[in-house]
Amino acid sequence: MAGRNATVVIAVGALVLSRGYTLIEVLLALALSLVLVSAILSLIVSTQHGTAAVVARTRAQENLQLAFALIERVVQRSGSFACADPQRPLVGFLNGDWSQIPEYDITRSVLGYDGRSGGQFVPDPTLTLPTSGVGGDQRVHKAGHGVDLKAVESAADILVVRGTGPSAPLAAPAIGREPIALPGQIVDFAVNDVVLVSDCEQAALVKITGVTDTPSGLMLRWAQGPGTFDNASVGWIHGDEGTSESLALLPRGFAVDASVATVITSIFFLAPSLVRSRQGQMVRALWLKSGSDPSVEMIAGIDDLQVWFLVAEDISPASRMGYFQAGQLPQDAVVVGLRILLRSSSVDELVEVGQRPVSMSATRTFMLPRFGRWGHAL
Amino acid sequence: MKRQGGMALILSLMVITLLATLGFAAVQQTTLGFLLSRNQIDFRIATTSAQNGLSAQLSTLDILPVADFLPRGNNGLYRSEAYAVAPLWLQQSTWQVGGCRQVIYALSGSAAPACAIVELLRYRAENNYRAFRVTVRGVGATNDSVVLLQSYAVLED
Repeated sequence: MAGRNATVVIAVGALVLSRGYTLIEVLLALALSLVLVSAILSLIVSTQHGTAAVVARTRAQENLQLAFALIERVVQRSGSFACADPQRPLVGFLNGDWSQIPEYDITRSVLGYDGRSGGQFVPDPTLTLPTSGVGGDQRVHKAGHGVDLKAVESAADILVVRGTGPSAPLAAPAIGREPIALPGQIVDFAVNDVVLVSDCEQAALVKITGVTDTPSGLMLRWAQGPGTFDNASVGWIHGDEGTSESLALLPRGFAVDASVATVITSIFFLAPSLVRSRQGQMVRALWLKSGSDPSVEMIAGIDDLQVWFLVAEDISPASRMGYFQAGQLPQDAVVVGLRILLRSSSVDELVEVGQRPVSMSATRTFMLPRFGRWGHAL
Repeated sequence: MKRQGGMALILSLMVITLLATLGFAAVQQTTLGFLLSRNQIDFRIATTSAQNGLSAQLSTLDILPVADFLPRGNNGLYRSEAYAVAPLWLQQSTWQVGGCRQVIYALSGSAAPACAIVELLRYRAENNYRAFRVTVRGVGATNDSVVLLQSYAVLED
């Protein structure tokens, strides 16, 4: 009985103690809580904005580096037509002349189009670039694979770089119209590839029409056809009025020192990205058309591309040099390098910079391998 | 036996598991970042090493006697006379000691000095015409990072 009484006493005591808070206490507690929660929320939002800005800046920076690396990789191969410089004797077997087959015009390893206001470029790309789109295909090897100039950002420049892909040596001499023999399968050549057969004194440009796998390697056939990008029965000699019925211009033919490589023209330009920003805005991107393939979006957020050409009077080391835009290149300019400005912006707009993307620009100069004496990466 | 009614053990285990997962993820992230950086540095070292080697070889081409270029190779000097199954630079044996010309000054940070092969592609005595192909193999901080650079050069009197 004594225990039960004690319990009752304690319960009564507890009722006495739970008398609640006064209105002032509650209001004070609420005010303090409000201040505390506001401070915490403000800190969280500020941290989120800061993190978003850092992430956006980092991604823009990475995109900038990636774009430069991409361009550098292509420029490193510019003008690498094996040992055959375009100025050396070259016989072209494609039916079209250089102006009709710009995807394979190895006579100019770098060129550009200067973007002007009003959607204009200098020189006019509608006359020389491989284009597709509203006006149909112009100077394009494969249907629909040209650059759609309507989509190209005209405030930025267009850069064209030409070189060759990985090369394979010959497995047997090549002189006349016989198939070209290659050892093993060092390079994957395919039908419709346009290849350059070259040594240090001569070169020939032909389109592959058949690839046969033999125990000793590959046999590349190059039969003639009627189209602009097909092989003619007689080749035309670049810079000369003459013609050649055989692959080699010199009687000795192409021998052990010759190699075969695909000609690759890379066209960099800016156009709208396939993605949109989180705010639904259009984003620009760096696009690349490589060889006879269609244009591909490479890096979203690149929204400016400006190109200057480092031009020398001649190829001697002491010659005077200067930077020119594509529309102002002197006649017979010897381009020895490229100066490229890129601007990279975060894809999404950020609140902390006034609802705009974070942008950064950088400029880099690349010497062409022929003049930088670095060769090209295999 | 006294029955345990608390959740301290379960909660502790859950917290430890969570912390361990977070820690493991952080370590993985750091490791990945480190590997990425090391890969980039390796590539740069290998490229620079190969560029230096190529530059050095190109500058000495004019003093290399034609007689030193042999079909089977002579300390990295080759004469192209026979059709090979694979290019020299794709054959592992080419880059063994004696198969290529080691660059004297190794790049700091590179696991091994750059090594070069110089092929005499064509020679004509009348004007001392020589066409060369120089291929250089540079390695990064480890021997796993390899960059090959190639250049052609023609010399004549």
